[in-house]
Amino acid sequence: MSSFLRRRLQLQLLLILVAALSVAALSALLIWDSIQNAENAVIADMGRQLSAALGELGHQYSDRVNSDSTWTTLPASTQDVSLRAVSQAVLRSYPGVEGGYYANSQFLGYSFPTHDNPAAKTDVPSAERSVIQEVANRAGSNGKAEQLLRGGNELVLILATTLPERGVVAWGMQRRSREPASAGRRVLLVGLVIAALLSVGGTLQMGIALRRGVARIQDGLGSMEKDFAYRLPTGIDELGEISRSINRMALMRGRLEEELRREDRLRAIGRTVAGIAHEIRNPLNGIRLSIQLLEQRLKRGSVQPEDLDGVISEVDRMDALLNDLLAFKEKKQFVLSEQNLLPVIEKCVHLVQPQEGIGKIRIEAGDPGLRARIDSQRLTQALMNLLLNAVEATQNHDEVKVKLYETNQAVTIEVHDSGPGLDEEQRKHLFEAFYTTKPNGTGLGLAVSRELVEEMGGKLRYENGSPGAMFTIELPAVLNA
Amino acid sequence: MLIAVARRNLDKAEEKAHANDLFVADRLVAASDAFIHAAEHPLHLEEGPKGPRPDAEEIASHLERVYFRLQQADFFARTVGDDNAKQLPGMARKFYERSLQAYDKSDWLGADEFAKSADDTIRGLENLAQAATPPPSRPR
Repeated sequence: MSSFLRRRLQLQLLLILVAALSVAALSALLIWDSIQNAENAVIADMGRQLSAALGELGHQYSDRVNSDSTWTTLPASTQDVSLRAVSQAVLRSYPGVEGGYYANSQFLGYSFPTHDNPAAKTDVPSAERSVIQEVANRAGSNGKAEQLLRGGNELVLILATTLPERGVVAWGMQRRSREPASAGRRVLLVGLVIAALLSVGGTLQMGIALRRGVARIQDGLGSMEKDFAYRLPTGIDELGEISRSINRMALMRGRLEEELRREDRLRAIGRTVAGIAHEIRNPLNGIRLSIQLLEQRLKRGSVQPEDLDGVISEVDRMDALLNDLLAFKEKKQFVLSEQNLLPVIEKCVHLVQPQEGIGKIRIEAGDPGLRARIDSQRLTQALMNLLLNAVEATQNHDEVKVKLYETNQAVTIEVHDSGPGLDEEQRKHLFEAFYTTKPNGTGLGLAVSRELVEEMGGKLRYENGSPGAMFTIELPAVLNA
Repeated sequence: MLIAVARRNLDKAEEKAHANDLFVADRLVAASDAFIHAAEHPLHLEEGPKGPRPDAEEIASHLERVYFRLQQADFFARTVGDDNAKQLPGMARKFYERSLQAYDKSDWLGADEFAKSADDTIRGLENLAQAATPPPSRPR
């Protein structure tokens, strides 16, 4: 995704670059075309003026020649004087146009009456003389000829047309500065090219900077994933501002996490305290029940020394629990030994059974000699949890059933109750520490039980019974040698 | 004045002819001839029309040509460079203006004669200009 986004950014930058270049190229073409059009318009106007001037020159030449019967006898220099007067009178009406006649390879009647200093302009301009001659000769052959000269700052158009009088050509020349119209556009063109170059350069620079900046942020975020204390390098640009924002966000997140951790610790302490209370309450219940039983038997006068065994056993269990808590940081040492399971079950049932208001706890043992490697204290603790839960879930006088049997190299203890069972949500969190559905529960019983069973190499599972709930302790069976 | 100018140019022409400068002499004679004709045309008005009567269209066309010729007069006068010659364009313009006035009054004869005077004056001036710029002599 990020790769696509990076490419998309690159594509966008490329598109911007192409667009900038296209706009620059199109604008340049447009301006160039405009310059050309403007110049073409100027040239067309020059052509129109020259054509009109040559028409008038031709007309007046004919008038002059036809009004003088001696014209052809006059020498060229004399004709030149008269024709100068004619061309001056004609070209006075055509600003910027100079010209005259060309006959027998000679220029006649040249004038430039609208020149700033017409008296000084007495002869054909030397710079264009040969071109004019060439154009006049072409006109002599073709009837009409023209030549456009493009100088750096001026346009020069030369036009020549043959006259009805044999061998005589009228010619005219006009020069126009390319300023100011074209110059303005040229400045615009140059400005546009510079702007386009700056735009392209700017886009490239921006693209490179953006790409580097994005890569820097990506690398920084990668480093931050590995080490949350890492902070992105910041610059003075907008990306630097983004980096600073990310750093601020990371700092705030760190503080929040620290606060959450502190709250979690406090909550955990509360849960631990509740768990300890739960673990102490169970043996206390057992002691209380045993003492109540002892009290009844004392009244009947049938007290037996064994009646105190249960109390002593539960006191030992509390002692063991406290030892475990004191040695919390150390790994619990399990004392596993191969033992018969039925007495352990009977002992648990014996401790729970005498509670008032509960139904019968029935033990079904297919093989009373089933053995497993267990820590009897830990198994008692786990089984007691299951039995107390079952008794609590079972309605008065309903039966709780404990089954003991062997399957496929495992010994299984099932605890069935006839209560309402567990719904989906309860099943999902059943073995999580401190999860409870009871108003006074700590949520540690099943979590601890599962841990105890697993420490003995077994498994503690839940299944929906029919009806009620069914917990299964599965312990590895002892293989007979 | 035109007669005086003509006479002076005839004298010059004679001198040039004696000096074997025949081209200049020819141009000066042509100029004198033109000035004399220019001076003669107003006299025709007193004599009355002799030939076919010119129509207005012809006179208008002639006046147009004379107007164009008037624009050449100053160039010719500058080329001659003579003080007397400098007065001739003014004289030609006066003939042209009188022709226009006559034309406006539908005096076709007057318009025609004064137009011819103007035209001849400029032609004389042109001849003087031609005389002032002789062709280079041929190498012998």
